[in-house]
Amino acid sequence: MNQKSKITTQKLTRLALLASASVVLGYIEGLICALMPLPPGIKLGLANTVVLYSIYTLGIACSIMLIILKVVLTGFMSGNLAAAFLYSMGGAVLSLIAMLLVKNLSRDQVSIVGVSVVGAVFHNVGQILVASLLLQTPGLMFYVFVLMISAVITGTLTGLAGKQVIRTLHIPEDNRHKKSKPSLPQEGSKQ
Amino acid sequence: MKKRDVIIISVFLAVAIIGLIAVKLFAPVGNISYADIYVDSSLYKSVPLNNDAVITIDQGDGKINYVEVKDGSIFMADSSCADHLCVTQGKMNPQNYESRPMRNWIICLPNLVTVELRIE
Repeated sequence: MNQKSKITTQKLTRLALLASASVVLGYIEGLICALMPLPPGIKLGLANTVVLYSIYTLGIACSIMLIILKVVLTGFMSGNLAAAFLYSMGGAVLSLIAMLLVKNLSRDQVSIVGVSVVGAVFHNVGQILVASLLLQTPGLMFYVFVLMISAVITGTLTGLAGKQVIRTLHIPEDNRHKKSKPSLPQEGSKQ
Repeated sequence: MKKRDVIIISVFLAVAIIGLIAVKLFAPVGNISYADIYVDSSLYKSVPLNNDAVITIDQGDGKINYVEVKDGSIFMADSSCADHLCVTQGKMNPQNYESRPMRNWIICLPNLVTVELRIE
């Protein structure tokens, strides 16, 4: 399938744009969340729209690179490459695996909203798993249920947002590998 | 949204609600008069809740947490971590812990500092 084909310059460029977009969205989200005293771990997951876009338009390889770039760059920006880094890596990796599984195994029975919700829930599951391991307190796993409720809500919202983003910015399959046609200015304007 | 999306959402919500009810039902009950502070998963100090105090946890590498006990409540007064989620977790005491999202825990994940109300 197209998805597993080698990475073209166009894909690489788009990947770079998406990586920076996800880092910026993550930063903006931090600013928004700082305004309200939410329980720890509850997040909007704005950057998830970028990962969704990547899964649906760039394929598996690029999505894996995207989340690695996002987590590493965010880690550098926050100056914390220890605990918080492992924690977000755990969430991002598990979330991506879950989303790819659901998307590819469901054969179009599950839309991007369902994929997004699964991603959001497993992002939290991954984070709690890493946190429990780091703190060696398995008792912390109960917190998954609190986060699951918020993840279903935010996952639905980011899924609907991702749907619109893909509808607006999607470039048809045929153009993607043969001729690198316009569409790049569009991506620029998204930023 | 498709039918399967609704199923996925409903399943997660059901799991979450059943899980939260189970957590409430199977939560240990008992007296609480101490809070245990763990640093990097080993016990750092047990503090009685009836004595007002400020405990400074300086890990020597720039990681500092200030845990305060005041009027029977324990809370993270300040922390060197970037997100300060531990500070926003607020006050915890034997009366309110069951309704807190984090129950009997206050956790500073970046600094690996944990405060747990000891239920015995």
